[in-house]
Amino acid sequence: MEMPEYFEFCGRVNLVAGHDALEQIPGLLLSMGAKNLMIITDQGVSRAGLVEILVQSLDSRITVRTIQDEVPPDSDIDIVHTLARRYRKNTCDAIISLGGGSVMDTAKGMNILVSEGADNLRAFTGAGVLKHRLKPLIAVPTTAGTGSEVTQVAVIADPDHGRKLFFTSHFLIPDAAVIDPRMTLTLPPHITAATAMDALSHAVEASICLAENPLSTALAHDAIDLIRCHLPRVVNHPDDPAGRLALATAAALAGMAFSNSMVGMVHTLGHAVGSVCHVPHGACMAVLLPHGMTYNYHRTQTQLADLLLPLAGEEIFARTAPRDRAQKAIDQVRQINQGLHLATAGAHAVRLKDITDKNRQILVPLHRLPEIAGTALGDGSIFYNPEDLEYDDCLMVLEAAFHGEPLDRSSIRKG
Amino acid sequence: MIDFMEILPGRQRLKRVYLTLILWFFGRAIQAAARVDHGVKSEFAAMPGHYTFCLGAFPNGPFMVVGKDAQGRVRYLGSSTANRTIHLHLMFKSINLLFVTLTLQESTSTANARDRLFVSGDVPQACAVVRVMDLIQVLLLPKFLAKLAVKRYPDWSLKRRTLVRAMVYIRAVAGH
Amino acid sequence: MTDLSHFLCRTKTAFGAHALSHLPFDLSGMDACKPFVITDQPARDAGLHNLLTAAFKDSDMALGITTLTDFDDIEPLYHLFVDKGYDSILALGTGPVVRTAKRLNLAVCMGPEILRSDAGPQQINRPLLPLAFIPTLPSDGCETTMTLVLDRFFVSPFLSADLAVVTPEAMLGAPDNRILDAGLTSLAVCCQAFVLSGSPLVRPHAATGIRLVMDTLLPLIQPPGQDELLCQKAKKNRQLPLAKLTLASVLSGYIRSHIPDLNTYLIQVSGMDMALALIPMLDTCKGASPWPGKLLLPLTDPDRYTAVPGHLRPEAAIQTIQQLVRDLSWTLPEEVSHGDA
Ligand SMILES: [Fe+2]
Repeated sequence: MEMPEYFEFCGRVNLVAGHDALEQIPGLLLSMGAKNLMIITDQGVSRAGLVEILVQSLDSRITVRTIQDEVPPDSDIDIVHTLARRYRKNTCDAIISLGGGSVMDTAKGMNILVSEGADNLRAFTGAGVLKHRLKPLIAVPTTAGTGSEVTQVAVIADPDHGRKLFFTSHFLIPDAAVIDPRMTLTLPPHITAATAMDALSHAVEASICLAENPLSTALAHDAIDLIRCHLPRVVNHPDDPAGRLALATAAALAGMAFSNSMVGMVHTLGHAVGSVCHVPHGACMAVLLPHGMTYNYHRTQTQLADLLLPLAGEEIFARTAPRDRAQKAIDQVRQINQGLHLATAGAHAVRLKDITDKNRQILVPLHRLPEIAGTALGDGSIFYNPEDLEYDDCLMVLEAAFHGEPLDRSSIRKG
Repeated sequence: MIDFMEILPGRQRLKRVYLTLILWFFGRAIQAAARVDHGVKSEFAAMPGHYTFCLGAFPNGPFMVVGKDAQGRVRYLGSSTANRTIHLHLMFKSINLLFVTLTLQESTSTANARDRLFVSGDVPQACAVVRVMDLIQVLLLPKFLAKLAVKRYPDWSLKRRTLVRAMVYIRAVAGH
Repeated sequence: MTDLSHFLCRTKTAFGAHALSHLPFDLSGMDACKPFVITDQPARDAGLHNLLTAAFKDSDMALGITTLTDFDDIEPLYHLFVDKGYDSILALGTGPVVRTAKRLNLAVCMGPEILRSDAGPQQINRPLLPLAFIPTLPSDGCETTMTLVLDRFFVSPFLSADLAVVTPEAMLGAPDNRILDAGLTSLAVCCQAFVLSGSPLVRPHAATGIRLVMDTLLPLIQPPGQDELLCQKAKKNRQLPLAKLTLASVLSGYIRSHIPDLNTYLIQVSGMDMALALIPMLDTCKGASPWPGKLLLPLTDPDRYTAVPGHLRPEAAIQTIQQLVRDLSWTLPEEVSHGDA
């Protein structure tokens, strides 16, 4: 088996998954010596009634001191500072973050402040700044995609300075990630599809990018296998608890994989599309994933070929000649996208130009692609991509993704 | 009775001398290339004014400090981080790991992928600095060596390969 | 998927070249700056502590290095540690070294009384001092579990090492029977966990361990030949496969506690006995879940796996293990191989 010359792997999270996983939370909190809770969530989650389900699953040993549901869709430093004050005012001793990526990041950021007894989050960016365990944090994801319930990073916007703050530390990994299908049961099909493609892109990039390692790849393959087996059914039957549990588990596995082996150009470009055009992350991932795989084809053929088994299942794998497997894996991702496109009556976009908001307005106009390409060059994930990417390369891939035309492999500049 | 000894591991003198020299030349080459190579020039142009970054080894160096002043001039600022505000640190986790990369046993991107270094500072600027380092390595090293250091050896014009490269060398040696 | 699963591994794994050079940074990331090294005589004789000294050059960290001869009495270690103000532990060696390190860590953080046999039950629910484990040999994986077995049984995630640093340069040579024992124990633990654990996180750890053993064990055991020069080269070439096999042991330790009680009798034995006991175990549960069949994938490769029809896979997995055991028995001298294999 191929091994990198050196790798590190840390998955320091208690992953609790199951149909009644929420009921484990009181025990988890008590084992960490905590019982006064702050619940952090957002309006959408709150309106969907998920907070009630969570609170009902707790028991008399736990006191919910305060429920904060004002986290905005992109977590920023102001809400982190506000929440830290409320945490202290309510003398809490543990945190549950209930939501998607933004809620998780906000909770991680706030946990830094309340654990370090600090007032300014800006002082804690960079590696190696956190040196001690933080307050107990339990992450309960309500989407099956970002994986941030198991990752060691938090990204928080600092609008006053026009920048994003990055926090990386093993201490940011939540103490426990509680995966309960009741939390994702009500997601509409097109969001289920987009978030699952986010998880799939984490798994694929974790296994082909420069920091790949055998543990991340093993996790990623299992995640892909779960997505292939359950995604089509869940998109058509959203209230399938077993399928929901499988997808949420896949997202956590993929999250742990990429938390250790990082992601590459699919995220480089996807982050840039997201920040320039305010497109939901999962939608970008679905469109860009096959293009990212094609761009790196010549450097990652072995890894791509290995992905065919989890992506397509054993029958297709066995039927495909070894030298065709890498390309077949890319085709398979296209096919998954196409299937989701049909199943969601077109809501799941397969080209950048088809991504729209709820009012059917186009979100990514052609003339903004140069700006997106420029922004992409400032995204750290670019260095984990197997092949080099310059401005022209980014633009070429974005144009292909815009029109939905597969990249011509001969036009890719190879190192 | 237990067998016990206390050891203060001390310094890697030879490695330190080698790295200090390389970083000194590297810093002066950045300063030179920022004047004569359009690629390096444009990377610096996009950085904020009054910006200082440092490349080195945790925790005791050696370091290389490079800064861009308010007028946009890029200068090699020496090997000391003392009494300076440094906006961006690119630090290898130990002097041994810096040595591995600066002897071309591992490229910067490989070292990065293998968790050998850490960055504190804004990510877009860190990306720019890494690109500058790649350009400098292509400018300074013969092709067969530079290929070990960068992911994709660039396809440059004859002028850039010869004239610009010579100017960077001369200026780096002369310290302009 | 089963109804409820949980898995926690607190240990960060680092594997490969120059791994020790990361240690000063990692320790300082846990607010430690004065590590106490515990090692054993074989590691000391091979000069492995010099690797640590080299890795800590320019770090400003002083090392206290102690070589264990008496593994029972930790009192002198405790006093040395406390009096000189150490703040972290590096365990360079195998099982006994780690056991001592865990005991010392408990004594320092919870008070030495905790180790007394008449102390009441204790909950360890907060972090102890930073502990890094640097293995020098493949083993049965006991070093990376979250337990400590004295005359009483301590279990807590906080007992597990913060770091496991597996690096080829720290690998000692070992007699074949020792390698065989470690490899087969790791294989059997991983296979059991793969088949019996309900946790989606345990399986990828187990699969990785199984692949590592299947890749390295047989080549490591095969005799290198007579030529002295070749032997020298072969010895050097053994470092990397030994490190890979050690990584398998480390992973098997992480997942060991996820083998349901039903089969704990397998844990009482080790090596060849354990591998042989694995076969009837797989045979009993092959109809109960898809996992005995899926075990064929990490045991072989995707091509072999997909070539075997689904219903025949559990049998093929068993045969693969039987074949490995047979091959290993052939390569070993008579007194080590089990005639009954
Ligand atoms: Fe993502």
